[in-house]
Amino acid sequence: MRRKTIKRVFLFFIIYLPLQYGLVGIVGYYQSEPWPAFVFPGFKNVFVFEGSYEIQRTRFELVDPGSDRITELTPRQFFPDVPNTMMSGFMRAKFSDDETIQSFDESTKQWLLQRAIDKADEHGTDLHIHHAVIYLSGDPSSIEPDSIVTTNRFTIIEQ
Amino acid sequence: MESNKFENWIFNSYSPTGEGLGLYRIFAALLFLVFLLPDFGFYSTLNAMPDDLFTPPPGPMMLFDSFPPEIFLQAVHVLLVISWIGVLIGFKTKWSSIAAGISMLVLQGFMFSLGKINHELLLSVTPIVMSFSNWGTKFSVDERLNKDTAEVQGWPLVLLALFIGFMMFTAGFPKILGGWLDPSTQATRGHLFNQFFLRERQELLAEFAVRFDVAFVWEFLDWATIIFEVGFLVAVWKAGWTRLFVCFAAIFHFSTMMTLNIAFLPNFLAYAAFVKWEKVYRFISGEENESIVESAGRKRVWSSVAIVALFFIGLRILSDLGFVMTPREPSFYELVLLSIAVLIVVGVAINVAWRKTQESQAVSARRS
Repeated sequence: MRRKTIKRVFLFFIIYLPLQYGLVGIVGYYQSEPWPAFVFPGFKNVFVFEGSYEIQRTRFELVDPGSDRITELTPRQFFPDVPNTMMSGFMRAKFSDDETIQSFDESTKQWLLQRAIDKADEHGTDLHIHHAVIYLSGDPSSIEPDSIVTTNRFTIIEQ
Repeated sequence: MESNKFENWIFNSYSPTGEGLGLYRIFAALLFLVFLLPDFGFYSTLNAMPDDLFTPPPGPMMLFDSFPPEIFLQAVHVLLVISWIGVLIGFKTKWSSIAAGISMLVLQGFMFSLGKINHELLLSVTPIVMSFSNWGTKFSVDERLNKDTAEVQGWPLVLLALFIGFMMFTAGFPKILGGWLDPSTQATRGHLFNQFFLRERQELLAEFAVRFDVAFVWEFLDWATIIFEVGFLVAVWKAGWTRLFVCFAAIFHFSTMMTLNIAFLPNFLAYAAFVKWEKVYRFISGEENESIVESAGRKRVWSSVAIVALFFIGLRILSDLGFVMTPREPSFYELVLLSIAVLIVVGVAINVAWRKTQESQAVSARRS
């Protein structure tokens, strides 16, 4: 490659990299992070709330109305074949708002219910997803969860 | 920016040798083929997902409505493996490297269409950028066939450094906006809790770190993280600084692996480009020792490559069998490889300190 071309390649990327970063920010704000993009994860959140720490918790709930039995499954138990690194983003993209969940067609809902039955090894006819926040407090050297507050509970399928 | 400084930065920052680049090429290919290949079984998982769960990120994957057939993803995977084998043996190295990068881009695009992007772009970018360094001129089939006689280039290392530096900056900058520098909050510790309790990443030193209650140490880590990530972009300006920050990166990833259980091994494929491979070559081949003839030097290189390959394969098998440790994250091989990386950094630091001491003693001896 000629020196002039190489210099142009560098000039292109010196201009392109900040521009695409701006675009990633805009698109990411309104939709989700674009791909491919020259970015690393920011982890900008500071998980502190009024002197204690808060963390998000998601559980699938398989309900058997006949016995009122509720079986909880963590996302990792529900999708053991999805890498752990992708799990929180997957949950956020597909299971964090009712509109998205209700847009699933019937076969998808049945697929999710069947998966819940298989993974829980329990009978059930209803499937919900429960989002909560766990607050951690106490002496920092022995910090423990002290309360759980439900933030959302969406029905995926109900007979 | 003055034009000559700009040109000097691009063309004179690095002066790699064919032998050095050849060794890095073989190392990178072995690292990828043994440890960084996507999980072949994951394609059937994607294929089994209902179309409603297909969530392509904004970009070229939006052209698709659903996950492609499993056979397509498997075919691209095979192409990826063949391409990296081409890189390993140095057969049509430039095109093999570009094919390796593009096929990884395609696979990652579909794998990330579950709604989560893993920031592993360097796995695709590194072989594409390095293909322009002519890293196939030595220890390769191309060399034997006399196909790749092009001069080796240093500018792709500058470009790779620029990409890494900028990507590091994008990791550090949001932290500043997010309040990481606020002394009243310890963001690193918050993330540790998040990983420990929410994602159940509780291996190695995670529990010790959760119980470790010294606020100023956590605050120091908040600041150090930002200085390291933002500073990397500045460090791109000089090869020495870049290498220093690559050393910091090894320590940074090692510490996040020990506490947050996040190893981020893919980045090491790119970091390894900044090892002084020409020195490694001279050390292995005994080039500095005139009594060793060239053919014997080459034999020593191939023996060393075989040892590294066997070590990698053995480590992978041992890790997968779960004899030593069983957690999914981090894996045993990540623990071993990152530990080795940190040991190398410590070794380099001791060596540099030793040389500086010797030099200063020599200067003061001359003065007296």
